[in-house]
Amino acid sequence: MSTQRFTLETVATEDNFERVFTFLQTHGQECGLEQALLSKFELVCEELFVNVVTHGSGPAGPEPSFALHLEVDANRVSMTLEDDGLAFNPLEHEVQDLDASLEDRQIGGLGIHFIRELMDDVRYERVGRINRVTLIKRRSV
Amino acid sequence: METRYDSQDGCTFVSPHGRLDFSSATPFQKEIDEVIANTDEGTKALIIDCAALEYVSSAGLRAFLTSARAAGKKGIGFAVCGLADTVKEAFEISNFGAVMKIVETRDDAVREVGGA
Repeated sequence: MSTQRFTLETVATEDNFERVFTFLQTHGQECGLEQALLSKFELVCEELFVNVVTHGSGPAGPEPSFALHLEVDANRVSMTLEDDGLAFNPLEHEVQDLDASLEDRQIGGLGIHFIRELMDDVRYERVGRINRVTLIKRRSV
Repeated sequence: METRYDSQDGCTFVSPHGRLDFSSATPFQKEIDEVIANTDEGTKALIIDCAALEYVSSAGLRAFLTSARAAGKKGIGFAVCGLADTVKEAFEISNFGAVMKIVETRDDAVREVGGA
């Protein structure tokens, strides 16, 4: 199986999440990805996309542009998210205390935990004015 | 996303259908808040039946956490049942089993938190 590549370019607004999700679904299924694997990418993608929507623009700043690259081959799936919003490294975010009691459990900080748990490899880099997050998951044979 | 309701043995069941993501989590939360606020004295527990829930993100999970707290404050039981694979994985990764009852079936839920 040769590598298949897909790219979506859009703007990071709440309304566009549906497009991002449909893009992943459509191309993931087209490549024959199992739903269990595809769901992991959907989850991780939602967490990161919402981060860009929430933290990407300054007080009066424009909505960041957003690109999603999906790369599938026989051995692995790789997803890269790029945005030109404010510098933001999601991996520096603290994971909430997962053993806290119901009263003490924090409302935030689950997203980054999801990303770490669900993916095999996660990288963040700031390239010029671009935030780039690359996520890789090996496919079980 | 659509939410259905029914009740049985003094337990109120809430069944979210479809995807609970960051855009549907807030309206879902509001619906549950209302259900909890309107429970009468005969209500023993709120049980969220996830059999038709296809997807839950961390935003969706927060709604479960908030609901569990609200039910606790109101003094009624709270449980989650019927989790399918992907949804179950999200609950497990979040270690939600430590803060709320997660069971297989509706009957299990009634037994666990329906406190006869």
